[in-house]
Amino acid sequence: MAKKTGQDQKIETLIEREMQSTNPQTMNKDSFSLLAAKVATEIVRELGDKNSEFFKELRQIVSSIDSAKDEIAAIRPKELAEKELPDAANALDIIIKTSEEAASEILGCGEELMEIAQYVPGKLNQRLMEIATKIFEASNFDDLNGQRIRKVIKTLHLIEDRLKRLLSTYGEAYEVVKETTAVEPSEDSLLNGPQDQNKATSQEEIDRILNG
Amino acid sequence: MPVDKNMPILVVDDFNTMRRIVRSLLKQLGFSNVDEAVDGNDALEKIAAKHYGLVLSDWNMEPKSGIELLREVRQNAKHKELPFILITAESKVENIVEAKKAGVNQYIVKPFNAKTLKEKMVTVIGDF
Repeated sequence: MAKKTGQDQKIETLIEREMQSTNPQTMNKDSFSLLAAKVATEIVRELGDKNSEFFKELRQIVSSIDSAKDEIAAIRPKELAEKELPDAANALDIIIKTSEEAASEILGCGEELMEIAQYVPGKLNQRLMEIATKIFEASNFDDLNGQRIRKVIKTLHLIEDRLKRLLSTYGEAYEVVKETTAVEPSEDSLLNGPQDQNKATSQEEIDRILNG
Repeated sequence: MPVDKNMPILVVDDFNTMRRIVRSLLKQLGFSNVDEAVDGNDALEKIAAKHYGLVLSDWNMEPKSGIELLREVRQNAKHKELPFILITAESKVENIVEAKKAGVNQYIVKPFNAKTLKEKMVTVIGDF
């Protein structure tokens, strides 16, 4: 059952008082109409009084909503949905791709060892086959990591969708405030980690900048 | 009856690395007649076109998973007895139960090793 507000208690007190002052044996349609009118009058009076319990509670509700909006704005949903989450998902995609490429190279070595083993007799043949087997077995990591990472990507996309829905509902409240003055790069903003090879700065370009 | 090491085997997995691993391990075991399929639908087409002695399939694939593939294979009277091994990262009890209900012959959990692969194959196709 919902907690009673101060307003509820006032109305209840009013009803109890009226009931006590009325003879139950003589109560009729008119007495109930009179009671209803008194309750309605009391409610209207409360609504007109800005210091009333009703307005106090309304102000508290508005204040809670404002706090919630501020907290949501603090997580920068627009930046998250439009840049940071897609960037994170993209980085994970790249991990899957590059891991698969590396695993392919490693498997190639294992296959080559197997081929070579054919021409090598005795214990050495056995040893080479064992090493090749270990390479194939260890390469399981690529498949399992790929599955785990794909799950994480799915979760990121889910969060991204939810944020976009939030943004389309509450719109401008969470617009990014554009920087109007140039900002000096901080230590953190210089840490961007491994590049996407499709957009990476080449070694030649780096050398050119360094030596230019 | 001795196992025919020339029998065609179908390896089904959406991850190229895994198909390659299984193919290489099969080669070490003496089985070189290996085809590959990238998901359940691809596998069904290949099974319809060729008589395989064994299917080794992953579970988690789209659009058709390994468990769906297994169910459809078993629904076909021609393939009711087709030896089918699931090789998968899914390891919960309910997965095993579901696979058993669907008619799997053996169940290998990833990561796996060559010894386990051979052991499970032996229980399904005979000693080699």
